[in-house]
Amino acid sequence: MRSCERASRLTLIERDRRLTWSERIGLTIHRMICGPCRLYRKQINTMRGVARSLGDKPATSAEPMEDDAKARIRAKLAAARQQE
Amino acid sequence: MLQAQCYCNVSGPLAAVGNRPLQAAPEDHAKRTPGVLNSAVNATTETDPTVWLDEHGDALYAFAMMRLSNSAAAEDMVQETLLAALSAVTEFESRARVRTWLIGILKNKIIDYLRKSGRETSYDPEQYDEGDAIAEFDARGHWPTAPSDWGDPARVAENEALGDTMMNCIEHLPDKLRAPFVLREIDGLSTDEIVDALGISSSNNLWVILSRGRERVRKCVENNWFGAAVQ
Repeated sequence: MRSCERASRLTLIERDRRLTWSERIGLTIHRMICGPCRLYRKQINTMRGVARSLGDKPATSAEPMEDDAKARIRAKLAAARQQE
Repeated sequence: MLQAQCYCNVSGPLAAVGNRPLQAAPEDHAKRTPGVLNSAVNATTETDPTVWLDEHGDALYAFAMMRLSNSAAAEDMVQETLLAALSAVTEFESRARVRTWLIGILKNKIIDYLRKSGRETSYDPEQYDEGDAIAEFDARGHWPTAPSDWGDPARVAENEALGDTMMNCIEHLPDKLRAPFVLREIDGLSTDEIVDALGISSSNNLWVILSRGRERVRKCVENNWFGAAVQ
């Protein structure tokens, strides 16, 4: 495998699908001789680790729920509690 | 480390509760007695759905919007989550943070919702052609500028600034790239589950969509975090 383009494409999906035998060999050899592609894999792996910690992190640019929406939900909750 | 912010401020939200009936705390064993102001103020606040709406509503809504990109659907999901939480309140024990518990419910609601409605969205427009280059390369298929070294993955992953930057980059993904990325990378769904939930026509298409999302986020982080991290 000579091209970084192909190596990066495989790096992006290697956890999603099982690479074929020849893809794996090619990728391994390519990384042995290609520093940038090793760094690329490192970045992708770092992102994967960070992503798992973002589950309950509040979105930074998210807009709050509209007051109307909150009022509707509040009314539903009140009604549901009345029925209990 | 991401729990540095306290979402469980009792003094503020309590004021907003006013004299609405409060729910007895589950650890009180006594059956729930709506309408009776419970003396265990802290515990009561923790298990009052109205307070949940005030304290966690925006976060739940943002969580849903990241995955649905549809304000009406997101509102429905928040509502269903709080209603489910209300009926399950006696099962809730303070072992988990309220936020975490609510998000767990919401996540399942969203996946159910996607599974039911996903077929309406076409995730397979023609521009997802596997032949397209995903990152940018020169004519010989080499990096025009090499990826930079972010440092030791395990240690860097602890970096909160990186988490913030990445979150921001994810939020700026186009809707169709964001939902699959979030479900896969943050929520940890399998590719089969995502194909099913979003109604994507083939795994092959999902791989391409995920690849594009990852590369966009990577590039965005590269441009925005590393510059900022250098002091």
